[in-house]
Amino acid sequence: MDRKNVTPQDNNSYGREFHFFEGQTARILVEFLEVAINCIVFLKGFYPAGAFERRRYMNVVVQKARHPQLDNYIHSATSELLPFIQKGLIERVAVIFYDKDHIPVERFVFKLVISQPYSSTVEENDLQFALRAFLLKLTVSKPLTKSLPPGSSWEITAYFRALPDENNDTKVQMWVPTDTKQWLQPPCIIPIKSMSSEPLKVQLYIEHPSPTELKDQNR
Amino acid sequence: MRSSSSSSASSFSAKRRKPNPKTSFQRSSFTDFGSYMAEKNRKLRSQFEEEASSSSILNCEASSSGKGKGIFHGVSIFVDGHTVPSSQELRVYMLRHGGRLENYFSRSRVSHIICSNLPDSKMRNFSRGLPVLRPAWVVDSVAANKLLNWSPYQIVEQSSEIYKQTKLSAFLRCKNISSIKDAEVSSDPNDEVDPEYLEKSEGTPLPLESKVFDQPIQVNDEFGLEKGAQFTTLLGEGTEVEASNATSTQLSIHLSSRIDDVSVDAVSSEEPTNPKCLQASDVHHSTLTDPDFVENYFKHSRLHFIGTWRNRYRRRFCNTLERNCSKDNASSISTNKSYIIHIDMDCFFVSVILRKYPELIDKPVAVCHSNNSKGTAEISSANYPARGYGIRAGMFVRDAKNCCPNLFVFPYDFIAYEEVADQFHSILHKHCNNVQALSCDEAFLDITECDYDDPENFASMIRKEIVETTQCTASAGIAGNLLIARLATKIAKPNGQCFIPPEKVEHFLDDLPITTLPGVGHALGDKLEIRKIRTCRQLRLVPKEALHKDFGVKVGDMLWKYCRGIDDRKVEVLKETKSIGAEVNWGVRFRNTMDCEHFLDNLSKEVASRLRECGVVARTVNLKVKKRRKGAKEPAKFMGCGDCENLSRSMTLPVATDDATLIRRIAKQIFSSYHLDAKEVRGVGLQMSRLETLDVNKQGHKHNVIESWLMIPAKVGEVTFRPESRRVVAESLCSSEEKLPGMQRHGPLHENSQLYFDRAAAGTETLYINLVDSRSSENAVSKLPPVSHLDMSVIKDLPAEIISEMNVAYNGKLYDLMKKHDEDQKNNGILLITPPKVIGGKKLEPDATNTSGRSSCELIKPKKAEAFEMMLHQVEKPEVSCSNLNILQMKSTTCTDPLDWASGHSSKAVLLAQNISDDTNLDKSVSRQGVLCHSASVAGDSLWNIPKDIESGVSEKFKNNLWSGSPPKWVEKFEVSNYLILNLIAQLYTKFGAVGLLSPTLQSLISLYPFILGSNGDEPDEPRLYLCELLLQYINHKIDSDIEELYLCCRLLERLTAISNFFSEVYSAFLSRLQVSVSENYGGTLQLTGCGD
Repeated sequence: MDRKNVTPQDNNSYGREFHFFEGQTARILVEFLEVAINCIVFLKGFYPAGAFERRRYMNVVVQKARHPQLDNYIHSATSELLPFIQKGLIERVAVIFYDKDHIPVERFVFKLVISQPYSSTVEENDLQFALRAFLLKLTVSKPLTKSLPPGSSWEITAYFRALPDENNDTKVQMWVPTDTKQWLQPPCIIPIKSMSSEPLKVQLYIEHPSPTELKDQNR
Repeated sequence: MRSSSSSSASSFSAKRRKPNPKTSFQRSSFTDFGSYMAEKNRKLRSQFEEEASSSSILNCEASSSGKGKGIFHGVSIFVDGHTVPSSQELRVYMLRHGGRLENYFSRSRVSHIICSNLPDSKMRNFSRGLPVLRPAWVVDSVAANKLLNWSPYQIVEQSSEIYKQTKLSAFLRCKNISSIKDAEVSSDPNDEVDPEYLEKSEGTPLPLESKVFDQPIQVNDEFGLEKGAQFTTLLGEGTEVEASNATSTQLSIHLSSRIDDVSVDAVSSEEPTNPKCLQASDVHHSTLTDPDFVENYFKHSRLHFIGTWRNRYRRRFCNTLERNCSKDNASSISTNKSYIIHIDMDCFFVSVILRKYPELIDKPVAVCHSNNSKGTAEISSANYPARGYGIRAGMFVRDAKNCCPNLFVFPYDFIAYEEVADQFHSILHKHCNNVQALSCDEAFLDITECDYDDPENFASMIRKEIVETTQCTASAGIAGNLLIARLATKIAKPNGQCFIPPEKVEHFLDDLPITTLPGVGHALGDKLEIRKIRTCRQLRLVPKEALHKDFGVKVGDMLWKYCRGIDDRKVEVLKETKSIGAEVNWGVRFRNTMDCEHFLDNLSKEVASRLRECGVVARTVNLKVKKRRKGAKEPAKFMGCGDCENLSRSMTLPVATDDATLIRRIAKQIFSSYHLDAKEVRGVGLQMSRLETLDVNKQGHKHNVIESWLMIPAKVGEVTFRPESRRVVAESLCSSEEKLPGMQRHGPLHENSQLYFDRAAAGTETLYINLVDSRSSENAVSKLPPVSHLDMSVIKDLPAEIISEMNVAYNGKLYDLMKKHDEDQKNNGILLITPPKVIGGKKLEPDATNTSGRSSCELIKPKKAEAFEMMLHQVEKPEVSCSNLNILQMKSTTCTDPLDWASGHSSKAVLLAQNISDDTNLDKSVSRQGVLCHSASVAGDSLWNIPKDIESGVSEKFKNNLWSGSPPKWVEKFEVSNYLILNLIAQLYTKFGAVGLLSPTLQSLISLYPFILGSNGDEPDEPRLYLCELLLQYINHKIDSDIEELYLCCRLLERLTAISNFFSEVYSAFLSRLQVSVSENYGGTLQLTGCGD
């Protein structure tokens, strides 16, 4: 929990580049994303409740996946985001639940707005406090979500502002370009929590297909 | 006080130059820069003149021609950007030939803009009205040694449809350029130190002055009008630089008004370029080859001409129509013996053309966009000789030529059509107030209310006049209702008239084929044919029920009525437009989706411009696509659509729009939902329905309210000037003004006149400062509302301690007043629960007049409003115009104190009201609030009736920053507002809104509102509009960072709607904007009804 600056490792791999969003804030955000995604997956009841264990994060009770593969997937996905978040490349991180035809049924979207060069003035405690509110809200958001159809699947998708340069980074390969099916109609949005501070703004909201969309599909 | 006087001083100098307050507001700090530029321009001009006088060519030309003036005399060009020849060379040309070149653009001095090309924005904004010409004009003029007509040298802009339309409507106002030129020469604006001119002005100094100055004052008064606005800008430009001396101001006003004329001319003289395009119509054939296909398509389409004609008509006859509307409502009850005339031009499209070719009148002539005898272009109209050969509208030219080999085919001449149509309708409107225009060449007249005895004579008179004016014939049908009148016209044609009196209707209808009835087309005709019904007589035998059963209620009713000659329709002056769209079914061929999207682009632009033209916004987008039917061959008609399947789908937006990009997006979305192969598309139609009028006033109001409201300080200052003092100032200025000519006579004119004006200005200023001082000192010292303005009914209910405290503050006057009030009430027998209006009015008036109250609360009384109006009238009078102009400008900036005071007063009132409600004295407090609300609203009303010029001046400045600052700007504004509800919101926000969120405020409002404001739903509109504006800006403020908060606000507002009607409009405005913003920023809509399942 060194709050002074970028860790040496970060400096080595992405050293010379200009970091829009450095240091502690980015790491807290990534950590938060990992926890939040765990919570979302638990919330959706995608896996049996036994696959999760209760943990304490930022003094909130959260659920964490016990299965090593699942835990690893979430952990690696989020931690690989760190360099891109630091560069301000990530626009949204979405947890998408699909039905058996791989058509999205529900999307949990974290919309990130990271301000231009800004020494991270935000106090770690303040940031944690703000992010904590997300987790609190998430734990009670079950009624807002839809029940999953059988045969569903889920994945983590990140929306990049620009495609990362693959030659430079070996880690980029962890993230593969996808061509997820989109809804034809603009979705319905249910906001869950928003936080705005400098230099970081986070919003979490759920997207559902619009009612007309469903009708179209049924036909 | 010091500050107010100094601000008035600075704004004085700034404003005298620019009556447009907006610019003056912004410029006031650049006074020095302005005078610097004025000086620079003057210097440049004098240099130019020196060079010109030393230029030998002019001299010898002058001696040879004897005129003493070069060919460019009176022409002043401004060169923009790179030109060939360069601006230096052009300058030399202008030097030598008596013209001038302006180094800096000024609308008042520049008469022509020379450039190689001009970007669209410049074209629109800065060249408006001025001719924009290629440099070749100058060169050619020099070569020809005369000033050439510049219209061929115009740089034709890629203008929007709107602009084109104004051009068309301006066509009739066309004046020839030469007359304008003459005017230019006669009012010789070249030289403001022209001794001759000054001599003239010396002789009759005052009339001249008044002539010049009554223009700006009118402008001040009628800002709402477009003309006025245009004038102000012109005026602003004109007076901008030359403000330092009086004469030049006059001159520049002269100039600007002249340029106004020229601009009309410039617009109209662009017309002749259009026919060329028309003739060249066969250059671009399909969407494949022509990137601007849509634009060209509509330019050459007759149907489009007819379709858009209505809008032009509406604009042109807008005044007459409105007048009639009001009249119509008043006197539409009279149903005795009405007569309807249906009047229709005979083969309009041909006979207009034939005006130019009188020798062809008896020959078969048709109109069509192409004269290719093998072509598959469709004949749109044919004259009667041609019809004799069996030629019908809709025939291919090829077939028509087969029928009649010597058929003459002419292209359209839309300008002529426009002209004739306008003449036609002017004649109708001249003779009859109740005109329903059906199309460009057809109309119904209701002559019931006209005083003409014999409808037939009346009709023939109109027809005669039409023939005389337009050289085209018209036929008329006269009958008791629309249906029969129309049918009569069919019999009357060509060039005749037919009168069917009501008693003959039945007989007339007996043998009439059923298909001639309007509304009975092929399909319906065929159905009737199957039932062996061919004439109206046969149809009459069918009972209504049977018709209902076979054709449905609507059509059945129509048939039943029509065959009996019954028609209940009224002559309606204008029918409302239901939908606006554009459809292209010819020449549509795409290679790929890109082509398609490009086409949709253009189509949406076209539709958007049409929407704007009509001043409406639409909610539903409907996209029709014609898709080649499977197996259909290439159509017989060249590039036609052939056999097609029609697809149609629509989408409704949360908020009505006229935005091209939004329409395009929706159109593309619908298009992609068809999953079509682009190659199969044969026609695309984009239609917007569910139109909502974009009421200019309402919209503008909505938009400006908050700004105007923020401007109240300035306003109050304005109103509080008393008429007498104003007159004093005006007179003093006037008298000094009369000395002006005398001063002008001596010595160097510039200095003297400037000196005079400075002195005059100083005079007014000091006078004003005195006035302001005397008044504001009164207010400032006490800081308490004058005792006369206290609401006794409120005071009485206060705790005794407070009353005594207040009494001390008022030096004992309060008790006296209360006593007096009690007596008054007894005398008048007014109960406590009388309507608020009475209390407010009765109470305030006598006291206020006693103390000659100088506070802004006077505004409440209509009397004072009248006085203010009177003052405005005075200002209009030319004698005092000069000085009053200054006054008008000054007062807006001086004395803001009264307002501060007024706001203090109102917030106190609020406090009182809250005290009362805390005392749980609920019944009574409600009535108190009524009083307060009412007086506040009245005050508000009068405050809002303020000249819009100032309003618009500040609107820019306050736009979109209500939420800036900490605490946000609006809090303060709301706190000092006259509306209880706004005060309340501001107070709650200061209490709860520490983190900059509005939702806690709204939440507490839910619980507090019923107690404090009761559930009375008749709050005035103003606070609602302000609240709307605040919330809409809040959306913009929060949309990219916090939709959660917006969602919350939305929910809370929804709950508030249940408590008070006041919020329902606010809520709906907020909701619709929110959804639009969310869909723009997040690509979806907020889910507000029931969460998940």
